Amino acid sequence: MKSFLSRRWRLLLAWTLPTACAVGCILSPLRGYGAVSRVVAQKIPLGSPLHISVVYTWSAILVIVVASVVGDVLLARAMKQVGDVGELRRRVGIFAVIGRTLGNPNFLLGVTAMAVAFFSLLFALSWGDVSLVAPAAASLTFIGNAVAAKIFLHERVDRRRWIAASLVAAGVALLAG
Amino acid sequence: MNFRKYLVLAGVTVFAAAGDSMLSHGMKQTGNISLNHLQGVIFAILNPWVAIGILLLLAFFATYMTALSWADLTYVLPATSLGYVILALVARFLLHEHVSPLRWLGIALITGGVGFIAGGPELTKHPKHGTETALADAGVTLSGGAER
Repeated sequence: MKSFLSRRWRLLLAWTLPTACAVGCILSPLRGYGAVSRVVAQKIPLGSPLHISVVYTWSAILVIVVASVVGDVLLARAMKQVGDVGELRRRVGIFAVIGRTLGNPNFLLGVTAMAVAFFSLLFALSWGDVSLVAPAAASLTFIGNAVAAKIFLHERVDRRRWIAASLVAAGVALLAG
Repeated sequence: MNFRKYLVLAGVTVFAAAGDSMLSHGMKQTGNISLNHLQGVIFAILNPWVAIGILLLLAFFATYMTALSWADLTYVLPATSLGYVILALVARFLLHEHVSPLRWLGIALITGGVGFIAGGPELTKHPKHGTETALADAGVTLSGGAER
């Protein structure tokens, strides 16, 4: 029983802090754009014509979208592997659920992909305007997630879900702008 | 979908919206963080708005993971996008900011999208899920038939 507990504590100590930091700094700016523009104090000097910065901005947006779609798909797959959290919690306890989640390779890869999305967001914001980057990245991520969930997670994305994803993507593009 | 699951989805929505706005508010108070002045991070975390924001975002992440454990990604994402609407409504009615007609259109579109998703099933039934879901399916159909 003692080794049981100590293993759990080691898992908790090894993952609580990095996960807290990662989750705190990764997910917040992806959704709260006000915070990011503060974090990126310095603009990256390009000293090149306008069309170059347009290319840079859109490639950064593409990287954000791809990375957050990959992250979301991996996290969704990880949680499907872990199983229904509510049911599992009643059966084996909350700490076992947390341990199982944090020990899942897909979960760790998903968090890493989210970190990549965060850093490319920083780059995109230092090259392009918030009012372009934020809505473009957010709405394209919704569409990309619908496609990726159909292909990689084999979710049944029927007409109802396509319409929902498109409506939300359009709405987010209008709201975040 | 039972009440507890709707509660988790509401948690994802509210925690994300509240966490973001608190963090954003706190970061505006603390000012810039640059790479060659990293002690600014500590001051930022000591700010109560930032601390509460980070805690709320951790709660968001926990509820988001919980939701993903029993619902499809293409269900959770649109269903929790009401957070954008909440933020806009808070800006309009609590902070008395101006919300342009284009943004009202955005709010309407998101609400419509959520309405579309809410009527459907939350999880794609795969054959490998086995008897448990098959039984649940049968139960759902039976009760639906009984009501009619």
